[in-house]
Amino acid sequence: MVRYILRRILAMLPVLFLVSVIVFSLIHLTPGDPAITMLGEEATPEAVAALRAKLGLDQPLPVQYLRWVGSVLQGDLGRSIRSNQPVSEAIAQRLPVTLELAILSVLIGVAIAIPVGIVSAMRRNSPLDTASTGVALLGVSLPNFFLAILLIFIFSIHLRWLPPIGYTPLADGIVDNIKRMLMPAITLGTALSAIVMRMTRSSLLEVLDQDYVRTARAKGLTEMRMIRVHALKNSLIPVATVVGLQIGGLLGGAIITETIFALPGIGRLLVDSIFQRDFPLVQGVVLFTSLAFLVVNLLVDLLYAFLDPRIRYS
Amino acid sequence: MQGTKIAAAPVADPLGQQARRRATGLRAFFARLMRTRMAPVASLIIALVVLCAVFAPIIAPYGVEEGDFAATLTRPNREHLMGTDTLGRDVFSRVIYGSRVSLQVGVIAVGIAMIIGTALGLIAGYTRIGLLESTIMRAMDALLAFPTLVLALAITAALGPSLTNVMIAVGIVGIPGYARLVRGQVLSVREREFIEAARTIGVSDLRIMWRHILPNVTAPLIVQASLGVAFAILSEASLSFLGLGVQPPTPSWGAMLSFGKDYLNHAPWMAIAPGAAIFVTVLAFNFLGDGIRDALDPHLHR
Repeated sequence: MVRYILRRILAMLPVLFLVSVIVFSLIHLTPGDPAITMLGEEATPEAVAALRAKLGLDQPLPVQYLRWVGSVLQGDLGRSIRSNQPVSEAIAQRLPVTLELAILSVLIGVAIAIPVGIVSAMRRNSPLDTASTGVALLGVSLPNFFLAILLIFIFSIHLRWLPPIGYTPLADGIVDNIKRMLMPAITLGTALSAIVMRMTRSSLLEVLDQDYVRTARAKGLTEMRMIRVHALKNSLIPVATVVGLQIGGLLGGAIITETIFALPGIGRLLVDSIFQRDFPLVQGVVLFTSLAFLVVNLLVDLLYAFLDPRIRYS
Repeated sequence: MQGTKIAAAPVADPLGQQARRRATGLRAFFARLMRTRMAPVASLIIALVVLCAVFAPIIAPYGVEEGDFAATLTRPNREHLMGTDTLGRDVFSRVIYGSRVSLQVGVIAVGIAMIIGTALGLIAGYTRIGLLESTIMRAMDALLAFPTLVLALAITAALGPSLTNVMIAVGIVGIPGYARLVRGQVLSVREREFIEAARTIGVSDLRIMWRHILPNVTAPLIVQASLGVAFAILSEASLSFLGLGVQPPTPSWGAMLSFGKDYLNHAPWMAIAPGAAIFVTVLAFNFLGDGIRDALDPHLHR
């Protein structure tokens, strides 16, 4: 297992290098002088020159890149050109909100998806199966911003059950916090739930075709016990992978959800920094999300190899 | 041999075997496609959206920018099927015109992704130059290392918000999917005898890739493209929703939805109409993609 982990991490190095090149180039993709883009056309030449010097834009590109990578490796992502706050600090401040949102959406998604998936597989082609498969299909195609707006329309404007937008920190009261997080988490969790439900259903159906399931049935186990003891464990391996991969995807979805519901998370930080043309902050957040994405995917792969030893040796 | 020939060419063909054999090509494919559960409905919806986009000025009862300040925020009624917005513009007409942006992004972004991705995948899979292959594929891995929306946002942030840049950004995000798909297919066909034979008689690599390998990868490419259009439309809507895509006054469904969300209280139709348009269109392309996959995959005909 250790060798497998090392091999996987080594394989990530070239990708990490290319990711860093892409993130670094973002600032240089802008048409014209990045310093003027950031400060606006009306900036004084002195201010532009000062920013160029501060960001090292007056250096040759390879030097700029090496300097940037050097400081990133030391955990220094630079400073915001608007607030002068260290980028890593800005990310650390916003991260708990996004994490809470991600955890809640996964919980909601999985809590709905797995039981429905199991029942669908057990009662294959029943009206319940058809209905849940249909709903799952709709859930996958429902754009999250549209779902968010429908939820606000129904639960905040019509029924007046939940506050429409805004954020209450956990420290200021858990009930208020959950009330504010519920709709965002449902928004993000719906697509995830649809995907996980389809996966649970098809994976369990596959396992139910296996000989050991037939044997378990033949020795007289009840259907519930057979599923619980024999089928479920094996069928949940691919489900775990899908959930893990979806967590990475949640980072993207969080951008929209946090913007609509005015949650001060990483996604909102990215959108705000783009609007303020705060490139060090944009670079920092983009780099951070891709690293988080890579690490989550690596963990998912390792989990998969751990659950299914055949992977390690192939 | 001769005997079977005679037997196989009867005047009457009661079982329709000949017809069936002839129809294994495109026609059979469409026949199978139309037998899948959702593809016929999906095709109908897509045809409608295309009609709306092409004939927008004829179908839309009002102009895109035609505002009536005496009739702002009117509820949906006979004159304004989907109501009017804060400037008294007809929401239905704007939704009709919005289909142009969505389809344009869908087609062009997928075109960019498919052409570049396919070329890269062919090169990586066919030329046996290890360094070239691993460079291309690691670059694709690097693009896949970003959550898609984050990458699209980052690119539009760098290039500046506009319709063209949205198409470029969404196109770039789609490239690795095609490159990986094509390379995988190429690896599976490149060792087959007919490629070996072509190479032996001195056919050039370029020609082998174009004439012999590419036709073998088109089927999965078509599936990917159909799902890709759905993804591109959704991405454009997301970017425009965030204000980083198509800029006003061009009517884009995402931008309309974003504008309308602030009036959910008084005029929910402003957000719900364009939102439903995105939903239905994306759903249709997803269904079509699924349908094409089922129709192309002989293992699923049971």
